[in-house]
Amino acid sequence: MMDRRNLLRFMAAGPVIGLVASPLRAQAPATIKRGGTLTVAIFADPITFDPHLTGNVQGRTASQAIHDTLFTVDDKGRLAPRLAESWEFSDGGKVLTVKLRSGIKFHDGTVFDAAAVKYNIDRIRDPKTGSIREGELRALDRLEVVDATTLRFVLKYPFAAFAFPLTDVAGAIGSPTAMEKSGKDYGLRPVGTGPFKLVEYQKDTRTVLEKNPDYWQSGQPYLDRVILRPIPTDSTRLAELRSGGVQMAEALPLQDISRLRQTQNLVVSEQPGFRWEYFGFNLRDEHPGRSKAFRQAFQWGIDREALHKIAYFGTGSIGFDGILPGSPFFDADYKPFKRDVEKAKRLIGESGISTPIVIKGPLQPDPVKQRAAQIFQANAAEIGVKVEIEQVDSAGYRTLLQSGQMPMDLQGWWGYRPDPDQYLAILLQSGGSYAKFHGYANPEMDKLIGAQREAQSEAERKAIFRKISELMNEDAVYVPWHYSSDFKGLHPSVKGFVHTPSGITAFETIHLG
Amino acid sequence: MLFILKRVLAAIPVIIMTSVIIFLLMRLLPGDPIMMIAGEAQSDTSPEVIAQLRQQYGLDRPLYVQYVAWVERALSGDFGYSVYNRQPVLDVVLPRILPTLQIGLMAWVLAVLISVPLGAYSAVRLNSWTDWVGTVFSMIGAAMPYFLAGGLLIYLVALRWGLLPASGYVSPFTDPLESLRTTILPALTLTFALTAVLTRQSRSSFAEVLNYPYIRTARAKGLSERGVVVKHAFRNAMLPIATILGLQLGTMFSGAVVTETVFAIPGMGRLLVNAILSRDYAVVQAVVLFITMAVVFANLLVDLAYGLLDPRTRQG
Repeated sequence: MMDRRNLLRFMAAGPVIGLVASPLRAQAPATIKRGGTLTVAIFADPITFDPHLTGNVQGRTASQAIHDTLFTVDDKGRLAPRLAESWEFSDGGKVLTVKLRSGIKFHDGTVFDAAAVKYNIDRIRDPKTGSIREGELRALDRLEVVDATTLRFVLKYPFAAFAFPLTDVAGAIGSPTAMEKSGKDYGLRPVGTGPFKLVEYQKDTRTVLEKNPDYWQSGQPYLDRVILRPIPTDSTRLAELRSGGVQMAEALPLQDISRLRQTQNLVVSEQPGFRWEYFGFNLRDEHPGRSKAFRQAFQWGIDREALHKIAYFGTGSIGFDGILPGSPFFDADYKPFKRDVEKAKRLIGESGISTPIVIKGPLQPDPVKQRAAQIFQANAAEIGVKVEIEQVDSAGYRTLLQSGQMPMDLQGWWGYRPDPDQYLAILLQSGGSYAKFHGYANPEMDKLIGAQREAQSEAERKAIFRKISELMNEDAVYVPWHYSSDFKGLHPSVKGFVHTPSGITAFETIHLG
Repeated sequence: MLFILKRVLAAIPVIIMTSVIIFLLMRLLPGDPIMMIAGEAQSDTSPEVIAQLRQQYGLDRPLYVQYVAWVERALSGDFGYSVYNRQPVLDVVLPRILPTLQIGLMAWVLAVLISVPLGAYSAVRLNSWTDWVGTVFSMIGAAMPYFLAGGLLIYLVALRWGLLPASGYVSPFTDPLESLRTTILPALTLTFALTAVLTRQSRSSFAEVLNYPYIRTARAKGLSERGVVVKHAFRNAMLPIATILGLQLGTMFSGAVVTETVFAIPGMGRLLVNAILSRDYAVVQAVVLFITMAVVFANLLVDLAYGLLDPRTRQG
């Protein structure tokens, strides 16, 4: 059972798992300076502030400054309350009862209550909304309003990780009044309960967020204003940070990290567990990936050390599965493979694929992936496999992937989600879209995915996730190789910043000195 | 007037052809805008939602139906809805015109102010050391990619000397001084390549004109060399330069793509690249239509400028 009491017990009993403690954690409230403007250089424009429509990190960040989410994730990677005050699973994990906080109002004065939450969840699930978050709530059968502050989520099957998407934009609650009034323009006129309000938006120029003086979390936010400035070029973003044009910059260029750490008047913040990387194979008959021995050869044949040092400039860490550091299910000692070129060659020999073996891999112009693909190509050549890299753009890559005709996926990665089920089910369960793209289906795997969903305790789930990792590595449809970190640069005056592995910044804890 | 009318009429088939070509080219590229927005979420969006979105934006209809519908609405001033930006296309495109125009004009004026005197000076002193220095600098300017020029300017002017902001844009209607400060570096970046081309052109153009018999006559009258160049050679030498200026407009748009990305300027170039990458068909169509019209218009202006520079080409 994933209720809070049990979570606390696991937090006490479980192994100490290393979220790297940020040196910038919030200080004692007495020393906090109020007011001021924080200008942030972001990588891309937020595009929309409608939490149910937004896609990129910038849009998720901005819409969560305006809207609170039902739940959040604590620094141990576990579910924590936000608009929801408490919760409890019952009926063998099929019913989730959520008690909401009371006395909260949206920016437009509308009262936040169970009906408002139901309105938002129904909006995501209505195909007419066109919400790309709809899939995250697929396990939901129906949502019942018990009373003004109590909701009952009735699920189609027992699902321990059900509430995790509600820690992100799928659980962001907007004012039903405003949603009715603005219709499809809600994305430009968002109204939430969050610490900030949207006061100005100029696409590709700036987004201005202003303090919500009536915010329900006492004392927060400390800043008067947050200005988000989209600056797509890495070097320009960095120049703005160093020249004082902005006090915070996201997505620092990896090749500059070690140099920036030596720089005065600039703090580099690193948060591991931002995303993980794999090389994927297509299991259909017309591709070499049809042979398990062929796929397994790469588990032993790729040089993870070189990938880590060259593709990622030594940032982040080498990874052997899809469980990210920072997750309660992560195990730093899980290292099933060591590079063994002879063994890899033997496996290629056993694969029964006639030589010469040639495999095509489409690749986007992303510098990290370009470097990784070149190393992979060299490693493959050593074990007798020729990799032909084809340059495509993002849309071209997705078209090939979704058609199920991509021989191998050199680009494979998955961004942070608080619970591994949120992506492992998509990648590995036979109904998952990525499993279908790669032609992968294993009834044994389906059973394991179902088992961790039904599991009643974190320890039980952890044991099953290990089995999932082992089977994933045995089947080798994805060959995992790296966990990357998120990097943000800060001016030393920026205090109270909490770096989450999602890369999403909560501005309400930040203050300037 | 008749001449102008003829030229405007001649531009119509150009615009129609461009719109058809860009419409088809965008749809030949793999993917569509719905795939791009669904892919960004990294979650299992159901086929029903994808189909619903395609239908909502009319992307499920046959191509010719989509094209005809687009033309019909465009003629009444409605350029459709941007799937990626979730806003009407005009709301996305219109604010982009001013920054690009402002930077482009500044670059154009700067380039003319630098290159014409420089070219004339070089032409008067052909093969002198000043001519050589000018030549070498134009070669460097022509060879320097925009991102390098922009990066160098940011590093020196914004970061080392702290004189100007490294990026961003302020409208001249909000704050004229700040607007100038934010546009100087991008305009200079665009100026490099343009100046290089124009200096070479004006050098050879002045050199040619200065050999004409009427110049010899002017010199024989006892006019100073300065008077000869400014009063007599200037107009004739400007003809080919005006042509190049018109033709360079297209190049300027391609320069704007890189420059606006480097300096984070919310202009047409940056919008166009993002729209192509996200397969935002309606935005690409509107921007390309606008650029086509701008190029046609600029070349019309050049033709009219001929009339001012050289009475022989004046149209009935």
